[in-house]
Amino acid sequence: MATKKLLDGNHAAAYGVKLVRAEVLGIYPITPQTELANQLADFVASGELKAKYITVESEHAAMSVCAGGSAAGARVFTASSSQGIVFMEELLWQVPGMRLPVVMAIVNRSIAFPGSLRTDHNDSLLQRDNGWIQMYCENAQEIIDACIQAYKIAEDSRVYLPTIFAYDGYVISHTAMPVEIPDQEDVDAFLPPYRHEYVYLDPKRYKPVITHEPHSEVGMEYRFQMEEAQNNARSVIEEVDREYGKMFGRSYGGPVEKYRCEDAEAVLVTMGSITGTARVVVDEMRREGKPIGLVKLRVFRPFPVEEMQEIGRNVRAIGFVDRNISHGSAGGGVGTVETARALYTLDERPVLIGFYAGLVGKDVVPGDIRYMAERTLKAAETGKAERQVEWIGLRKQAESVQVKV
Amino acid sequence: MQEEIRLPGHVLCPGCAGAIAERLIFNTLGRNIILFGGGVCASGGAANATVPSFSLHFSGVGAGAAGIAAALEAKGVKDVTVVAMNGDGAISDIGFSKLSACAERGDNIMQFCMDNEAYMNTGIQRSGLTPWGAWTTTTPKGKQVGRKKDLPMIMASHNIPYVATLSPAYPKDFTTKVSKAAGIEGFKYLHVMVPCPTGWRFSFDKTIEVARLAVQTGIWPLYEVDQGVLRITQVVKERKPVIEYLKLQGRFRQLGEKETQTIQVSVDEASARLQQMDGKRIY
Amino acid sequence: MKYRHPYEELGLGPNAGAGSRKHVIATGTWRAFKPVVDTEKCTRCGLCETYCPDGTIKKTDEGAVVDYAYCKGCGVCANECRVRAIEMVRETD
Repeated sequence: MATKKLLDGNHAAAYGVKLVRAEVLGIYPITPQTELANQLADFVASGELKAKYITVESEHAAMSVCAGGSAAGARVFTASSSQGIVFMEELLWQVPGMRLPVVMAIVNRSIAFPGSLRTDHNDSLLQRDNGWIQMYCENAQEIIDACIQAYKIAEDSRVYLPTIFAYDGYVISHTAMPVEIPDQEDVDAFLPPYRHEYVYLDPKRYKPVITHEPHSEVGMEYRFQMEEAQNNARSVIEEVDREYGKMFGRSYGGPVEKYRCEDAEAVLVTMGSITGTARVVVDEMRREGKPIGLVKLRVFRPFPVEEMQEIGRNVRAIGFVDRNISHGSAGGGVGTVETARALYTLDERPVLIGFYAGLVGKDVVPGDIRYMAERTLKAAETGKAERQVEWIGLRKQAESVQVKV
Repeated sequence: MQEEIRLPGHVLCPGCAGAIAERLIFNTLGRNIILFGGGVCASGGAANATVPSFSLHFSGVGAGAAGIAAALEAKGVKDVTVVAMNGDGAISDIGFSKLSACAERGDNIMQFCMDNEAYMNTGIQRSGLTPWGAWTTTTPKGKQVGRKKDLPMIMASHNIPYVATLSPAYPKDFTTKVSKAAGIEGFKYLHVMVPCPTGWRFSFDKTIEVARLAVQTGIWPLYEVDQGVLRITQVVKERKPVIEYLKLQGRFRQLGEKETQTIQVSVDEASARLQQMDGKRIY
Repeated sequence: MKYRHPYEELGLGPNAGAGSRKHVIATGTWRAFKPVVDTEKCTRCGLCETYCPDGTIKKTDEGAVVDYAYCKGCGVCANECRVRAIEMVRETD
């Protein structure tokens, strides 16, 4: 029987890792992920999780351990944030290139400098080029579900790409909610033991292939394979989510969840914890009769092009809430720029506004979300945006409003 | 005739002592191994070994092999040895902290350091294991400051079960040590001296001669530290003067009388120290 | 039906099958000198086989035998042979 426990994000992730029966863990502590690392150490010490916990000396070593372990046939896990992610960046290109289904939790934290212990999404979004699949979790319940789903997606033979599930540091990692922990037997039925069809360090399965062509000659072909895998991942993610819903009773709508978007004129697109706050604001505004909807972008890689296009065809304005920045970009954060490309081929394009909100840990309060929604509705009405990109919550900005909730 | 584990037709230089050392290692250990790391001159070696091999880039020392060893343990596989081979640059510089951490954790791997005394693959740049006075492309006047790090002793101080120095010119000693290490559980560190004709500037047929002289002059003593007890495995009764070794190599061409004397004195002192420790528990 | 990846024959990524792809080139073309063994002088001690960086000279009952397809002509075998049974001869072709 599934049990219910009051868990914060970090502990929920730890339970997820326990349920998938991870075998090799290489984790280096970094705020705000430390409780996750500690809880897993407790599980291993008590024997609840039969795994080898390697107390690595840096994040670079943590990902090395995962790479080696995964290649040798074990299910692995690691987690990090911010500076740690950047420290292991070298490996974060090698692992997808080797098609190893490593799963990593990123407890989002802004990257220095300017840095903070608090959250923004630059650390996980930095991996958008190298082939990792990325999912963003709204709350602790979703974390435990995403963790289990991540392994199923990564280890699918059509995919074989490593997967990230990310959640906001402190906001989600350190706040608790009642979480339904699935039953071990059900998870075992849902997620069979790991066995890689193509990459395996096993002297018994080994067969050399003599070639006269160095690896570098076929590198572009390997990248083509990886892109195909990302394309396959689109359908695999939806399949896994649906199957999960059938097995455990909770489904998240695939890569994108549309909240109150029927007859919406304008929508806000959010990722991570902002979604939770946005739901409350959208409900409030709907009560006032405003035709606003909310799109929760759950999967950033592979980018849900079709879903965004479908939304773009049915609304007049989209406001993308970017909790990240790409300095010097063509206009807006990473999400805005990707959405623009997705919408580019539409015959009739909605107005697209890029909002910078919550950067370097700045709190995103309901008042901010209301402001962004109002701006997007205005753009829907007038058919154009006064400003392509807006900064929310900056000091000295005349229009920023902090409301008491 | 035994089928070569390491196929001929590899891209290492003619006369590469790393290739000789690798053949000795593979022929001793057999096929039931998993090879980690780039081997000497980054991947030139492992690229041709017909054993399961896995390499992370040059800086990936230790931890990757630890991951493999952990996975094997998790799967209950007991008969496969994890063999890590890395160059001196990876081990003493960029991956030093990782090597030390692996030793401290006692990960069950066999770590070889293929020491050709510089970053050879990228074009003969100096490393922490470049000896004093040696020419490299980044120390064109010869390494002025800084001695060769005594890695075997540093690793011995980590209290690991086995440390050894090896030379391809002494194949029996070499294979004995490799076999011995393979039978030990825990972190084993084997430091192989790899003369490099290209980087040390000597004629490539003299590789083994240079390696032999290194031992005979006392510059490269062959010893092991087994469970903390040091034992000199190749006794050299009358050490040859260091000039015999130095004069064969173009990288020492700029050394004068005074510098050679300095080197001779330091080798004399190091040998005396080693003699004192012979047979004793040092850690 | 199992999904077939594009370029599946290449393996899935550079580490496919535990690094099965082994890159071999015809290093015999590197030679300027080649080792020639005097099988009468050869004592079948096997030292040349031990010291060859490429594994291209082997001890046999008929004396040491060279695989000229891959031998790079480094001359270590000739330098180390205790009885001087190997001579490095200039390649002519």
